[in-house]
Amino acid sequence: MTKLEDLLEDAVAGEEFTPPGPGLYAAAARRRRRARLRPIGAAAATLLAGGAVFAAVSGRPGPSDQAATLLTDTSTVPACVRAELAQMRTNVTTNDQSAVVVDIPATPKQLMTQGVTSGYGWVGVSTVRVLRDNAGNTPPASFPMWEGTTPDANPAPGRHLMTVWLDTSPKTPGGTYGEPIWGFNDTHFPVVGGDAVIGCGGGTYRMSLDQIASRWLTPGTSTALPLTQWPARGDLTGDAALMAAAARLDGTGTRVVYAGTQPGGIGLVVAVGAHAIAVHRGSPDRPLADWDHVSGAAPKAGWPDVLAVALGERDPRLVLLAAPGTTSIAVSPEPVIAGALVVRGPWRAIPATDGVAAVEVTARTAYGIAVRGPSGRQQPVVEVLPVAGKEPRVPETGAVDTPEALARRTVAQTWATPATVIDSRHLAAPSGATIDGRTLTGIDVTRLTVDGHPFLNVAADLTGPDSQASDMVVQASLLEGAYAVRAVLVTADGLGPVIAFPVVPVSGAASGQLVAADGRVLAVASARSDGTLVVTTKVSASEVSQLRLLDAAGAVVADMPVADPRDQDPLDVHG
Amino acid sequence: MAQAEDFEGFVEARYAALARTAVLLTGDRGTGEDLVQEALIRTYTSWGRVRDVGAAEAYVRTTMVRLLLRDRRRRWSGEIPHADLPDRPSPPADPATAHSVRAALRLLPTDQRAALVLRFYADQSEAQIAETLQCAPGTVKSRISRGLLALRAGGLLTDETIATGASS
Repeated sequence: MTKLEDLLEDAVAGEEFTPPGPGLYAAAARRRRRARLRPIGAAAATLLAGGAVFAAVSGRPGPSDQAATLLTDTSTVPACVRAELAQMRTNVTTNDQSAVVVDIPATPKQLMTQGVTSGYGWVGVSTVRVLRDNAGNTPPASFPMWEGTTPDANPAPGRHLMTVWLDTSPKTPGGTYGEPIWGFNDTHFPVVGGDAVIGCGGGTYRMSLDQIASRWLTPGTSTALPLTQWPARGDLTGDAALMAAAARLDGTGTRVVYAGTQPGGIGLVVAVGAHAIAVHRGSPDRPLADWDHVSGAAPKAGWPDVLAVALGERDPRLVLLAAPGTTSIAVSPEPVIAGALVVRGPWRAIPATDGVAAVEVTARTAYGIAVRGPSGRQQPVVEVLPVAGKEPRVPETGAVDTPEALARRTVAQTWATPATVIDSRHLAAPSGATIDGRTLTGIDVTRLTVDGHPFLNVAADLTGPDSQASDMVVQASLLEGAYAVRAVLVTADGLGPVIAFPVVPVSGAASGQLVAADGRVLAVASARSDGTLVVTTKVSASEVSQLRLLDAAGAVVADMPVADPRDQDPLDVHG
Repeated sequence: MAQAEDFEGFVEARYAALARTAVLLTGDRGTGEDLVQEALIRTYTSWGRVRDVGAAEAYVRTTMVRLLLRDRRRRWSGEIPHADLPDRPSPPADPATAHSVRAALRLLPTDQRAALVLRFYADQSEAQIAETLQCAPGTVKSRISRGLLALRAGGLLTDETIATGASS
């Protein structure tokens, strides 16, 4: 007779694991070192009283001879302040910490214990104000708090804005927990009056707690300097003639955000205008007018926080531009199929120097590459020049005769159009549904290969109140011989809003189901004669948990997680 | 207090056991390894405060469970959340295989899966599980009960299997 204990034991008994060794220790050490070395508000801190700025209390010199700058306009917030507040927001939104204003007592630290841990901290830290509450991590009116990892991370006695969490260390066998103890993050700022004082980048700045709470600690808002305010970076920025020419080429108001020489001596200039992004590539020895020039419309869904510029021809690199101060940009080179047919896109952190990085791509990976910047969930927009011999395609004009022609045109157009709007919302709609006042009258699915790369194209026919039909095209890359990664969704004109259809062409699948998180089958569809599959449903996309494929006998062929519609990352398709 | 070098010794000695627990907690080897390594890294950052190396394994295990519960809406991917049993159970062809056990575990809600693994694999008491999961002992009971029912409905367990399992 088999016990559950035995089943569980047997389920992993055959698994052999090798301790990760130095890699793990190095990663752990890096994380601890980051905690120790991270420049903190308090480290560069100044205390502000009565309008005067006094030197830092943490031992590091503060800009005592400089008046603190009161920041009220979001657009003028320096990059270093944005970075500090972005870290605090991450602590709140990602790490579930609570943002609070506390008073650190002047009494000496005491030895405290909590579960299996022991260390020094303050008793009697008092909560003055809660800016962001994360359930379970918000301290009471008075509470004990561990000191920092190293003493130089400790805030001085006094009032501070910080993020805290409840340390719930396991207790020792037979022991007790004792009083709960909170920990704090290294990013914290002195508070004077109703303002937090942020020292960074050689300056000292004040920002009201109300503004921090309402604007900077709110999920979904970007704290990075917007693209339209990026400074020019790159070794060619000192070329006044080049910069002037670049700023003129696309009309007034154009801002050059990058001008630099690439390996091989090719110059690259990226300029952002009010309504367009322009990319110039050529020899720095030649006038800019002689350079290759590709210009595209600005994305309608808002400026991205990362620009990815593929250099093309013989340079297989993707130059990544993010807000100044950005130290890492995540790149997902191509989607992969993991075990059990779960599709996922691994992300790799590319080190960036002041927001500039580069990564090698190939024509193959360029089709599936995606980037994301400091916000982590910004709409990834890839700005491309032709890659590895793929020259820009000029979209065809005129009527489209067949779905395949439409698909080919759209794929080509998408590839050639710099400002491709990408959206990953999976909002399924059945025939007859109304989308933006237009009625969905049909769905055409086409499988095709463009330059050896498989694509799936879904054209949705929409008829408006004026009876004028229009097309909305959903394009999805396919993994070779297998499944749609998930829709990379564009409208025919590159505009949103976008609808998506969970579509999976797969040989051997006779039908498909959209399944809710609670197991309910929301919709069923049979495979078409060409092997493609379109499943539609009226329910909200947020209800759809997975797409299940079944063979002719009804056996499950695969379960594919359907992306969270709130996830704006088109390749990050973890369930 | 624990010394830094103790950490490496601890990992060398207990990594495999912790990883197996993580595999059961996640239902997947890859994500299980991710989970245990993240938990170890977090443990390392607090290692200087760990008073008793002997309790470190419990520390890591608790960290794993809390990471899993905290991130169940985000990562430790591959997880297929089900609030209830699917209409059509997906019983494995061979209920005794490792694959089928893991598949059955994956179908469980995370909190039920964690409760079952802690109870029947890590051999924790309901009181200990309640501390780890930060919930009431009664909640642990109900999670274990619902998890067992789900496994039985899925064909993995029989009444006898449950009856002969560890009792609380």
